[in-house]
Order: sequence, then C-alpha cells, then structure tokens
Amino acid sequence: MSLPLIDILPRLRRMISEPEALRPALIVAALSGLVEGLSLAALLPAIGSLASGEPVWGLQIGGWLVVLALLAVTCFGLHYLQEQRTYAVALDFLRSIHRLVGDQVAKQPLGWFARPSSGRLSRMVSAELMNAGEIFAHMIGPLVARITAAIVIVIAAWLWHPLLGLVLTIAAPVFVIITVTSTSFMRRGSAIHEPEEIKLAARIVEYAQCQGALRSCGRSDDFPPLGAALEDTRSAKTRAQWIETAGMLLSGVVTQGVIVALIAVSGSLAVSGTLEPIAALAFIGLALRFTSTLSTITENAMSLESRRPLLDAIDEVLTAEPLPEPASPAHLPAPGTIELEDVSFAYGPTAEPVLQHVSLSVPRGSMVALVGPSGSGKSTIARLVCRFYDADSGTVRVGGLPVTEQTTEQLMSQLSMVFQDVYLFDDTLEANIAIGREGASREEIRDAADLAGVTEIAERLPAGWQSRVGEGGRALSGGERQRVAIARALLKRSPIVLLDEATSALDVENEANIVAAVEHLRRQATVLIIAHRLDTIAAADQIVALTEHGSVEAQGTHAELIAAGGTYARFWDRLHRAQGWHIV
Amino acid sequence: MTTHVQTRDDPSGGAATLVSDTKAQQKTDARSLKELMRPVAPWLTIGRLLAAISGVLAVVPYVALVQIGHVLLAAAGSEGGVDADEVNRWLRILLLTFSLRIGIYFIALLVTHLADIKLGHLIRLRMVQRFARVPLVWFTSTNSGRVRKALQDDIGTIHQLIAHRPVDGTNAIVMPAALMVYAFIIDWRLGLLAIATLPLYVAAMSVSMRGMGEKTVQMDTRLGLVSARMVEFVTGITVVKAFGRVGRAHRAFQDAADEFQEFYYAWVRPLITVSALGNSLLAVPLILSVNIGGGAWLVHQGWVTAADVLATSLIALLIPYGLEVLMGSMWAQQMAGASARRLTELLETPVLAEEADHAVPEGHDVVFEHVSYSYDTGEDAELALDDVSFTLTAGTVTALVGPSGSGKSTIATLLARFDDPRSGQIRLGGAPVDRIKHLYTHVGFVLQDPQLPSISIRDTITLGRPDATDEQIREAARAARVLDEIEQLPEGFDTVYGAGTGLSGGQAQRIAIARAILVDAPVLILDEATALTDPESQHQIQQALSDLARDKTVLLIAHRPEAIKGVDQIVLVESGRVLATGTHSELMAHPGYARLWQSTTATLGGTK
Repeated sequence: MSLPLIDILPRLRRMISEPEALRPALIVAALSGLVEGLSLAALLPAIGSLASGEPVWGLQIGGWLVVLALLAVTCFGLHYLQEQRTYAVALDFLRSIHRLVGDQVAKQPLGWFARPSSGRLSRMVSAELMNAGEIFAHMIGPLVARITAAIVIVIAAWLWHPLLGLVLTIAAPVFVIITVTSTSFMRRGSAIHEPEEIKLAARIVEYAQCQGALRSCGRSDDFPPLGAALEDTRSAKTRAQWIETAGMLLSGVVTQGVIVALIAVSGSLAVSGTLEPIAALAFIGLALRFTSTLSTITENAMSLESRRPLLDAIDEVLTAEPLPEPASPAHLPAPGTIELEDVSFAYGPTAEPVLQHVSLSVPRGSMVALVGPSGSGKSTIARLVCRFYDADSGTVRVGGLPVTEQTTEQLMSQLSMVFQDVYLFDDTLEANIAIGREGASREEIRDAADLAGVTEIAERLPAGWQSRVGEGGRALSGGERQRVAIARALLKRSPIVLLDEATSALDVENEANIVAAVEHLRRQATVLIIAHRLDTIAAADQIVALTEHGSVEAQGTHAELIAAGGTYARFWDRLHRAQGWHIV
Repeated sequence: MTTHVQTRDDPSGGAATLVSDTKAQQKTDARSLKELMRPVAPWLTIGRLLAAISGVLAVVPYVALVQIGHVLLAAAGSEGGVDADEVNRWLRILLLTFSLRIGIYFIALLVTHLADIKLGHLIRLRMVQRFARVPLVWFTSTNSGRVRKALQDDIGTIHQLIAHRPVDGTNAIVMPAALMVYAFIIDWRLGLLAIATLPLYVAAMSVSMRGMGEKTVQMDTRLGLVSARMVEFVTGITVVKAFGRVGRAHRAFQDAADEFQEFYYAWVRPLITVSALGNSLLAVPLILSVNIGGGAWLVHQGWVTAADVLATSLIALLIPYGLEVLMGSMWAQQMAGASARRLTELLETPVLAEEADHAVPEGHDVVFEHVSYSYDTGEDAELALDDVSFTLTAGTVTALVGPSGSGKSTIATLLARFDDPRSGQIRLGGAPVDRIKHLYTHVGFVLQDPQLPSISIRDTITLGRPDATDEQIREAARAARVLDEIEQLPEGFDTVYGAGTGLSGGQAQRIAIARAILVDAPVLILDEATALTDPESQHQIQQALSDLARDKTVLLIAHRPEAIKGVDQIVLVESGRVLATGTHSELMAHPGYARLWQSTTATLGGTK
C-alpha cells in the first residue's frame, strides 16, 4: 500500500514551487510516526509493570511513565511541526499550480486546444484544485506517519515476544488483502450499474434536447427507449447492490474481524500457558490499536488512490510537450503567400485521413476560394496554415517559409483569421476590435468597424461602443460576432487573411457587410476563403476544388474549372439551383 | 438567435450579495434535502437505527479485553493458572456479538441501498414527467447543461448521502460514543481521563471552523471566477495567439487566481497554528501518557485494575475519530443540500397549463390575435413580441421575414405552443391552441436542429406514427429524398443514429423531414435555414421541404428574400412587431422590405 505513494511523490514535486520542502515535511511526519509507534510499544512494558508491580526491561511503572511523558512532549512538538510543514506545502501547491498551469497553457500549440479542454482545465484550476490540495494538507503526512508507526509496532512486538511479532506480521498483509478485495467488490458492483446510469443520463439529456421533436410526434409522455433505460438502470442497480453491499460489509468487518482474531489468539495462548497472562493482556491492547492504525493507513491510501485521476490530469498538463519551434524569427522569402506541398493529414493515428497529398498555392495579393463538399477538408487546410496542427507529411509554407520553422509570433503576425467560432472577450465592443492592433488610434478602430458593419451594432446597443459583449460574445448573434472578427482583421492589416464564409449564410444583412469587407480585405491582403456562396466563388482569382476524400481535384479559374467538368461543375450546378430555390 | 444585450454585473460584484444570502441559502438547501428525501425517510431511519445498534456492539471487544484482563491478572497474581472456562466464555461472546454485528450492519446497508435505488428512480421519473410539460423554450443549452449536471453530479452526491452516510456516519459516531460511555461505566475517573484532552481540541477546532460556511461560499465564488477566466483563456486562445495577446488573457487568469490566493491565505494562514495545535492534542503519545499516568495513580489507590486502564486508554485514542467524522459529515450535508436544491429547482420548473375544456379546431385557418411575449416572466420583462396580429389562410404559405433577432422564430414557435403568449391568443380553426388536445396532430414543425434521438432510423421516422408499415416508411423517406442514402448504410433503416454513424447534418435534416411527412399535420412551421446548413445537400432538402409543404398551411421562417418571392403572404417583422403584411409586389414599396432585398444583391466586385 506504500506503492501509490512512491509513484505519486515525483508528480507532487512537479506541482510545487519549492519541491525541496517536501522531503523535510515527510521526514518530520515519519519522525512523528516513529515516536507514536514507540509510545505504543512502550504500552507493553508500561502495562506489564503496572499490572505486576515489578520492573519490566529494567524500569518500574514510574520510569515508564517518564518515558511516555517524554515521548508525548516530543510527539506533540513533532506533530505540530508536521502539520505546519505539510500545510505550508499545500499552500505552496495552491499558489503555484495556477501559475504552472497558466504558463503551460499559454505555451501550448493551438491544436492542443482542439480537444474539449476548457471544461476540464477550468475544473482543474477550481473545484478539483481543493481536492488535490487535500493530498498535500491531510493525506501524505499522516500516511507516512502511520506507516512508520505500524512498522515500529511490529518490530516492538517481535522484541516483546517472537510469537506475537509473527502474529502481527501475518495480520498486516491479511488486513491489506481483505481491504483490497472489498474495494474490488465495490468496483465490480459499480461496473455493473455505472454504465447503465451513464446511458440513462444520456437518454434523459437526449429526452430534454429532443423534446421538440418528441412533442411534434406526440411522444413526450411515452418514449420507449427512455422507459427501457429507466428500467435497465433499476435492475442493474438491484443486481449490483448485492455485490457492492458485500464489498462494503467486508471492509466494515475487516477491522473488527482482525481484532477478534487477535484477541482470540492471545487469549488462547494465555490459556495454554504459552504466553504470560500479563504479556497477553498488554498484547491484546496493542493489537486493538494496531488494527486501527492499519485501517487508517488503508483509508488514507484509498482516498489518495481515488484522487489519482486529478493528479494524472494536472500532470498531463504540466508535462505536455509544446510543438517544437525555433527560438527567433527567420527571414521570409515570399511574404504574403501560402503554399501547401503534398500535404496529408489525419486527426489521429487511427483516424481516416482528412487531407491526401494536397498541393496548392496562393500567390501574393490574390483571392483563392476553397470549394468542396462538407468533409473535404477545407477547414483543416485553414487550420494547418495557422499551425493548429502539424501536417503528417508534406510542407505548409506561409510567407515562403515552412510554418514549422517559424515562431508562433512570427506566424501569427502574418495571419488574420475569421472563422466560424469567433471568440469575443468579456469586454466592451470597442476593446474587442482594438485587440486587432495594439496602439491603433480610435479613428482607425472606427474605420475598421464601419467597413465591417460593427457601427450599426454599436448604434443599436444601449451603451454603444462601451457595451459589454458578455462572455464569449454571448450578447451578440453569430453573424454579429463574425463582423467584429472582420473588423479586427481589417485593423490588424496582416498580409494574409483566412476567412470562413459559413455563418454569414444565415443572415442577409450580415452577408452584405461581409461582402463589402471582403472586397476591402482583398485589396490590402492575400485572401484564402472557404467559400459557400456563388458570388464569392465567382469573384475569386483562383478556385481550389476539393473532393470529398480530401484531395485537390483541380486548381484554376472558374471558367477553367467549369470547362473541365468534374466535381466542381456538378457542385456549381447544385449550388446554383439551391440559391434559386423558392418554397412554392 | 436572441440579440438583446443583457447588462451583466461584474462577476466579482456578486460575491457580496452571495455572502449575505448564505444563511438563508443553507436553510433552503436543508429544507430541499429533507423534502427530496421524504419518500425514503422511514427506510433511512431504520438504516440509522440498525447502524446505531451495530455501533454499540463494537464495544464488546473492549468489554472482552477488560473481562479477560481481569482473569489474566487474577492468574498472574496466583499460582493456579488462567481460568480457561472464563476466557473461553468471553471468546465465545466476542464471536457471537461479532457475527450479530456483521448481520445487522449488512441489513442496514441493504436497507439504505434499496432506499437509494428507489429514490434515484423516483427523482429521474419525476424529472422526466416534468420535462414532458415544460414549455419548449425552456430547453436551451444552458438548461440542458443544468440537467446534465443534476443527473451526473447531484444524483451521485445524493447517492452518497442515502446509501452510505446513514450507516457509515451513524456507525462512526455511535461507536466512539458508546465506547466513551463504557469508559465511564468502568470507572468515572478513567472516563474523565479518556476525554481529558478533548475540550482543548474542540475549542481549537471551533476557532478554526468559525464562519466556515460563509468563507466557503466566498471561496466558491472566487474559485468560480478563476474557473471562468480559465474558460475564457482557453476558448479565446486562437484570438489571443493570433493577436499576440497571450500575456493579456493570461494575466486576467492570473489576477483572478491571485485574488483567490490572497483571500485563501488571509483566511487559512492564521488558522494553521490553531488547527495544528488542536490536532497535536490528539497525538497518540500525549493521550497515552495522560491516561496511563492518571490510571497508574488510580491503580495505586486500588480503585481500578491495569486492564481497566488499558481499555480506557485505548478507548481514549478512538474517541477523536468520531469527532472528525462528525465534522466531515457537516460538510457533506452542506454539499448535499446544494445538490438537493438544484434537483428541486429542476423538478419544480414551471410547466405549461394542461389543455382545459378541450376545443376541436374546425378548418386550418390560423389567427394571431394581439400576441405579446417575453422570455422572462417578470412584470417589466423586455418584450420579445409586441402585439403581433396576422392570419394564415388554410392551404397557403406565409413567410416571416426580418433581420436576425427580430422575433420571427418566436412567432412561429408560439403556434406550436413552445410557450404560451403573455397576452393575446393564437387560434387554429377557431380553437385556442392551448385548448387543443394532441396539438401535434394539427401543427408540425421542421426547424434548424433536426433533433434525432439515438434510436434506429426506422424508429425515428415512425416516432409520430408507430403503426406505419414498411412501405409507408420507405415512401416517406423517398419523399424526403433520403431513401437511397439510408439503404446504402450497412444496416439500412436499423442504423442507430449517433456519433460514428456517418450521417451528415443534411441527411439528419431529411430524416427529420421524413418524420414530419408521416405525422402529416395540416399546419406546418418550417425554417428555411434548414436548407442552408449543408451546401451539398441543400438542393435535396429544399425539394423535400417543397414536397412536404404542398397543400398545407405553412408558416415559413425565411432568411433569404429570394426564397419567398412566390409565397401567398409575407409578414415583415422587426423588433418583435409586425411592420407590414402583403405579397412580394405589395411590400416592395415598404422601405424595410426593400432594404432586405438590397442587401442580398450586394455582390463581390459589384458584378453579378
């Protein structure tokens, strides 16, 4: 049971600013455990001399009382010191972990955030933090102390009477094994009902989310999959209950069971004359205490074990490797260009490839449209250009230099991104645009806002430019958020703009604003646009047509591609017909 | 898509109000908890009672220690050896009570676990029944997050409280208490020695726990802020990096973290010394030397035996354990209270009124009469719809147009009774919609979110008509332009919808259309945006929608004026009000309508 401690300690060390403080704290804990063990061991001769009135190991009861008093004073001091030290380490942890996690998060490549990480990270630095802090404050110290005490008691028992030493030496592993077994029982029980409960929770959430559809079908009172899931959960829990209760029973009785066994053994030994009566009495006492020490150890070890996932999660963040990048910016041979050369990419080693041998080039000052069915990898190309991820093979060049040979700052200074998931800070409307370029004048900000159609938004809002947009920009619609993002891009005046048209499709006014802004952007920068609208596609200098398998079918002008037939011509035809649709 | 700006308070400003509410909050929480547990309360009482009995029986080993001790001491004082019968008798009693204790403990656990299963089932059932009657507008993403949290975290907390705490908690408190009583029974002076260091410990702990409830709430608020800053930091990371502002967002997070640190330090730092001193009073050698020291004197006086002293010394070591558990359970009780409150709030979500005295629609004309609506129920809530009146003639198509956030969707969904108007009335065939039984057979809808549950495609399509034949299902799928694609799936109509089935958003839309085709409601609410989600299958969705709409009374939420040129009636909406009603040619003269048209004709390069 000391195993978890051994492999947890090095991690704990990484999570505090003064790792060297951990060892003294643990040494103090071990010392206080040692004294505790010694005092329990002293119980044997003390009770012996008290009962018999004769000296044991050369000391009378008075002498043993002095020994106990000395141990008490020492232990009081050590215990106090131990608490102070471990609290200090715990506070150090709480203080450092925010900074460590924050620094690490700031260093990560963008692809690292593609996983649903915000919920996990935010729980990690708040609610779970206090649970992890408890490890430092309340768990490792007592665990070390109790283990030391238990060892001292066993040694003392051997010295007192080899037979008793043997009994305790055997009792310890029996105790541990039964406890571990009972835990595995409980785990088996959970394994039976937890999956059902998770399924049921998913069904109920689904039931809530699909409530509209269910009501439109008159099924809100009677949705059979949900009824079945409720019943399944109930029956799984009933089945699991016996196993789980048995497990808890086992863990509940183990302390008492070992006590009874130890009393029975020493009683019988006394009856048979193998053990002196007084020695037997003292030993029963020691055994009673020994078992509660053991149960504290297992309880501690188990709560430590149950917090292991927290530590694993924190550790994963602290040890995450950032994408390699050079230390200083390099010279850009061809500013304002993008080039993909034989690029292949999949979102995981086992996933289907999203891009296969893609080559394309975006000349300086041109506007290139990416066109293709959904799933053809249009957004992935944009993400590789921003180095959210590194390509599995092939080269992505921005400004003529492979993105892997640029610092994040250098790469980002060349790019503006106007994607679907535009993020606004919980700040004013104006501040959210101003973020585009540090030191931009108010006039420049207003000009960019005018062009992107943000001025209209400001006029509508009660506090105008100073209106707060809410966390993530909640107070604005999707189209409005995209306009703010365009204003940022206009303000930034980066040589390259990456733009995804998708959300603009929903909102007519928005469309007009975006069209105007793109018209302006293409005059000041190279534009790579993920296009959905006919007009945009037709207005592009070059079109890259992607197939549904993520390969480039052709690159050329609209006329060239239509003439060539193929996917693009079909796509164009469909889109054309769709935009002309009217309901009747 | 609501666009109104809520003036949000600075999150840190909320801390002050939170604190003053703490006391009242805790009371409400405790009440919710009691209310929630009422159905199983008798079971829990039985569980606690049994656990208490088993806790009392835990004293027996110590009684045995004393009794056997007396026998052994007697033996040590004489030449006669140990009284084997007496020792064996006590060993038998020990074994017997031990088995009894296990049995009772087991039954106690069984009882509370059964209670937990029952209550868990009951809560979920009540939740489901509630959802069936809650206005559809309630089902926002925020609320589904709440539902998820309640189901995953809160029911778990309640489980701990019901299945485990009554037994473990009672046991952990009764056992030391019974031991203490036994210590006093052995000898009152030894009993006093056993609890000698406790008063100081309790004093130290009560100092360190003072105001803990309030402080905990404050801590939660501050941690909440740290958490929100981290979310912002991470979700905004693209922007942060793109504009070279890593330092800035990072700082906001670090500031929140620092603020928490400062608060926590100020709270905890002075308490560490007190708490460390208090805990040191429980150090094993200290308790032992007090008990053995005092005990030795009592033995010397001839009032007690060494066995008595040994027993009470060991008991003294165990008593603090009960106190620690007691403190821990106060904390757990608070947490459970908060969980119970969240669950109760969900279970008490306001519902739509039952259709009173049923009315039967005659014909399919739809009339909106002075309909006003707000998303909040308060008196001065901002109106999302303000005095909306218009009529849909049976068998015609009416389109709602207007800027985003103007209230188009709100108008349309009120017809399907997503919620009831705050004032005014909506009639279908002369009958108010809130009095029509089985409204779904009259009013159908296909909106942006196709809402497919993870069941087989067949079950999804037949959701509204479980008795549909295979031929009818195939026919609906064909009309929805999705038949071929379904049949190409390895499992065809038996494919269960969900992650990994490889169905695109466009296909999901068409399956939802097939579902609506089978329900065949005479009045339909359609969202044109469904046709725009997926460029490649736009065309097919549009054809399917056109088919579905044929010969129906249709209310269309329109986004592109082009799509509605030919409809029978256009309703122009802005800021929750109807500005004009008429055909396309009639409305062209309206400046608001003309503006909508202008914006779409703007094109890149000015050429078309």
